[in-house]
Amino acid sequence: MKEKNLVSIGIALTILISLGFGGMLAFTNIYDEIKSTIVEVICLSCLKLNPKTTMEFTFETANGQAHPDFVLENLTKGPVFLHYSEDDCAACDIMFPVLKQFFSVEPQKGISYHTITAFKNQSVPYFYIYLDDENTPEEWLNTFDIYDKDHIQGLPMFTVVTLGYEHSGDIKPYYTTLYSAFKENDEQRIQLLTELIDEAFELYNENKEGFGHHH
Amino acid sequence: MKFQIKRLWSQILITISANLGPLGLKTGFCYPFFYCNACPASTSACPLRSIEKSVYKSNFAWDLLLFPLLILGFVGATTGRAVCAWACPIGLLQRGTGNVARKLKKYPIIKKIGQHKTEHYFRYTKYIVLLGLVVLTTALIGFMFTDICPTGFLTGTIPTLILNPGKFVFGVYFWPALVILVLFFILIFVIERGWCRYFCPVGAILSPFNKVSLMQVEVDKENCINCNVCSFNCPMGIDVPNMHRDPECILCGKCTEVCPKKIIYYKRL
Repeated sequence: MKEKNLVSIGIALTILISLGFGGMLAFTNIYDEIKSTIVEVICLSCLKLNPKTTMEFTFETANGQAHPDFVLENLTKGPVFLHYSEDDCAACDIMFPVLKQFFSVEPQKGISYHTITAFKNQSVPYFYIYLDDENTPEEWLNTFDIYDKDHIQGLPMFTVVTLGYEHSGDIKPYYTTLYSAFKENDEQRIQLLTELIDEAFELYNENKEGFGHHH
Repeated sequence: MKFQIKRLWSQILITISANLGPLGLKTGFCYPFFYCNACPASTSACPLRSIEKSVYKSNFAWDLLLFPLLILGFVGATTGRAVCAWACPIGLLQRGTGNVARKLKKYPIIKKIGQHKTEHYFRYTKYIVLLGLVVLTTALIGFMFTDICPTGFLTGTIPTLILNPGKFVFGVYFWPALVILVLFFILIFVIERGWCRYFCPVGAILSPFNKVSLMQVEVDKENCINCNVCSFNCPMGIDVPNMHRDPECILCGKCTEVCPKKIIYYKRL
């Protein structure tokens, strides 16, 4: 092809691409989407690492913000379980069926979801928070930073909020967070979740009366 | 200031600007070069990660696909693969290792590897990596290039382990990715710009733009004396006297500097 034609194609492409790029920035939320789902969040399977899973509960939220209202409200029903996930995340896909089986819930992958489920005949408010679902309430999305206990900024992430007795004498929300596809297989994962929720209920049942009065 | 020193400054400054995350600079742009958002200091997204996210398990998201392609397309249509030589942090790394690769060329076996008659076929590998590991396996089975990416390991995994001692355990792709990182280093120490030549998926996206880009390196073939000093100095191993809008050219300008007749030059619109 003649040089002149190649240059013409180059100019046309540059104009077309510039318009397309400008249009995407101006008329779509792609910039925010890339920022919030790729740059500010780490896919742990891409990092090739898994955070060490500890079940230590804490009163201190990860970013110092208060526990959100919807968590406090649901804490009157039972320990609150928050399950965070996103697109394009191998570890999220591993954990999705585990959580479905463990809590006998039916979330659809890709859509944030809430239900009250049960664990050993006790209520558990379950929140499936899908970061890529644009209909997810802002209040739910904000909890990702609030409960990122180890400051991992990675997915998938699982938080259980129960109640604890602080040294000050107050009954307060007490939470822990697990990350990624912890443990080797589904059986071990379910075993760990069972231990976690058992402990959460033990704490909850010890303290719920105090929280009820206080709250 | 010498031209190659200017280029070195450009590479250093852009590498620094790609790592301003600790200062709070986190943007929603994709890098127009090969760099990883898993790096704790990163400011932007890896374009490959965005493409993978757009096709993951066939859940097609056109905006996540178009956005990085438009960013790379703009850079490619205007300057071709110049970002590989002037901006890419992995290009900067290979600039360092390239000196070793050049010295190793004195060993016949190393020289043979880089100059084998089938060598140019291996350059298509990067297109296979792009279509196969970034798009197809991601769309069909959920296995992604970024799961085993050597740059992700080098700039994401290793700094994360250093900054957070005892906080992480190795994931399922840790060991395969480590093996690939070792092979990556062997490659770039043995063949100058080996990653850019054979495997870089971002290079594969940018390469075709060299055919139409507004900036290119041109050779005045009529006055060429075929001394081949340009080809010898080309980090991409291009047959410079016979090149015209070569998809492999990264516009580093080494050939323009060394040409004794000064008949190789940058051509702009």
